[in-house]
Amino acid sequence: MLGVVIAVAALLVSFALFEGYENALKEVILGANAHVYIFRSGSDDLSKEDMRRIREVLDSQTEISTYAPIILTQALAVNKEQHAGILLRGIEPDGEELPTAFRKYVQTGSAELSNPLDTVIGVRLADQLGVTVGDSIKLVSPMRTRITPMGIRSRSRKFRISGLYQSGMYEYDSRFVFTRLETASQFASIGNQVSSVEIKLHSDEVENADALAYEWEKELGLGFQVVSWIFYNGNLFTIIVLEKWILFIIMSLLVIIASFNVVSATATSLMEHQGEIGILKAYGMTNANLKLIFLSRMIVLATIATAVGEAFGWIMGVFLTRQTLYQLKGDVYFVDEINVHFSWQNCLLVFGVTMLIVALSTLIPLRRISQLKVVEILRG
Amino acid sequence: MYLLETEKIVKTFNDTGEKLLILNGIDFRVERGEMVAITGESGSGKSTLLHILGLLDKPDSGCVRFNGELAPTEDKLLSKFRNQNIGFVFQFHYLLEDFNARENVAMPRLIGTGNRSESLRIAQDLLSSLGMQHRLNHYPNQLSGGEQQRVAIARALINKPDIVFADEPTGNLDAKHSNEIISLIEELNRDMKQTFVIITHDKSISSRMQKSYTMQDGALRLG
Ligand SMILES: Nc1ncnc2c1ncn2[C@@H]1O[C@H](COP(=O)(O)OP(=O)(O)O)[C@@H](O)[C@H]1O
Ligand SMILES: [Mg+2]
Repeated sequence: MLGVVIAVAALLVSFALFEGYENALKEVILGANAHVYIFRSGSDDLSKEDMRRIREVLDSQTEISTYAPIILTQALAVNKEQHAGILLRGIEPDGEELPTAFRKYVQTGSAELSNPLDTVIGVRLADQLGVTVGDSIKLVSPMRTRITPMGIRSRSRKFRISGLYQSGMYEYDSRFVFTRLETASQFASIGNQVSSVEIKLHSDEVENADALAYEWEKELGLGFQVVSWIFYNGNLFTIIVLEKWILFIIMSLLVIIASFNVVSATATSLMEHQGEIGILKAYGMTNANLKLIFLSRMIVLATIATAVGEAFGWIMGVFLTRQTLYQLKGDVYFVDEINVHFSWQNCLLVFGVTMLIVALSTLIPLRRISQLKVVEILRG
Repeated sequence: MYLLETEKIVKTFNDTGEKLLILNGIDFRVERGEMVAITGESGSGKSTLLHILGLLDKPDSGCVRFNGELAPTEDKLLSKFRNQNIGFVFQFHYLLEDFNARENVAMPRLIGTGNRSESLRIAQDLLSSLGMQHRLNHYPNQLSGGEQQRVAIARALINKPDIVFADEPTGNLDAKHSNEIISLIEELNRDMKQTFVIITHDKSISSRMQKSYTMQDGALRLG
């Protein structure tokens, strides 16, 4: 039964790890990001006129929790010798809840962009550039680069870092720079236009994002493009869920291997108790009841083994999240913290699968009970 | 009418292609309240006959009647019939190692009725009446061979069977314990009119029975 304990622990902890990863990713991607995006078709920006039309349509939609215009522009962030390609996100800082949640991730400094040249940047970008709250960085707009007689002139601007945020999503923490909408608009010289509108849905509508996007695109009419998060990240989650179940099946094989012991233990037990089986049969006990006796004994043992294994797996999982020796590579796995997610459903699932395997491993050798003849047992 | 009656029981075994005729048309009768011994050389077919009489095995031909009626053939009904009408005692007592004396005795009744507390109570009374009241909660490995066989006899009696088959019940016991067990069987026969068919190759035992048969060449002969 030790094998079963270990296999159950491995099964539970691997499943919890994967689910923890899936949840962390979902939390960051869906929590930090908007769910639906509206663009102008082609690569144009949205004009004031477009915005009026969009507001007209969106204001009557009950599925929407909040929406806001946003300006997105690429830039180069420079601090002394250090530089990094970034994505400047101009947002309306007064919005109570922004489609792109960044406030709750701000760890040092302030989330408020109170001055026009305030920025909030990710911790990884800050590391890369060697800056912190209160420092300033120069943002260079590649779009506005001109060649002049004096050489290459780029439009650049100094910003002050008013806060640092950490979402746990490597991509965001190393790329996004938040600033006020007007500031971004000036920086990108796009006048009154915005890049897109971001929409956050009520949580129970998140999975419907695709259908809603389709509906609103029709409603908005020609010239608008409405895209949901599923378009960007849906595949990722499909793959993760698929991988999770493949892993579950592979780890279940461990339980099956561990159950080979159960098969042989049951067979041995049958041999040892042959005489008793014979006398019970002579006194009229049915094969079904005899099997039930052996099965229930094994189920009791397996229940204990599974419970111990699950407890063990749980301890291992907690240890994994506490330890600092090994961290995920953020640029490979998107999230750099190891997360485990235990739920009673998972424990129940592992329990059920283990019990099923143990029960089958017991019942296979127990088939012999029906073939055992009393007279043959008595003859020895 | 006889309690037990057989008609031309024939039983053969296939031993590596060779046909062994073990029972060659046995006609055997037992009356209610009788105590019958069957003796014979080892390998003469005594156990084979007892298994057929006890409905644990089927003859090639011939039949067994209890109170003039054939036993049921369907497996479940046959099991039930054995449970209610037949008791067994074997040379090796086959007590359940993980259960104490009282539980072992209660077992056939529990199988038959499913009533645990009643079965245990009757088992306790029965064991006490066999002088085992001080061994109720002992496990088989804590009991002497003679005590274990007493438990096995109590187990055979708990469902008040018409007949008890005992296959060399003293084969494993020394002379003193052997004598005690046979005395107990005699007592049960005398006081409770319990019917017994006992296989033994001990002449001193068979001579104490009301009737004694000898098995030879596939046939039974009185005396
Ligand atoms: N299943 C079997 N296959 C072959 N031979 C058997 C089988 N069962 C019993 N026998 C043979 O039948 C004979 C009678 O056996 P048994 O009834 O046990 O004798 P006893 O109880 O009188 O010593 C023996 O020779 C034994 O080897
Ligand atoms: Mg024999």
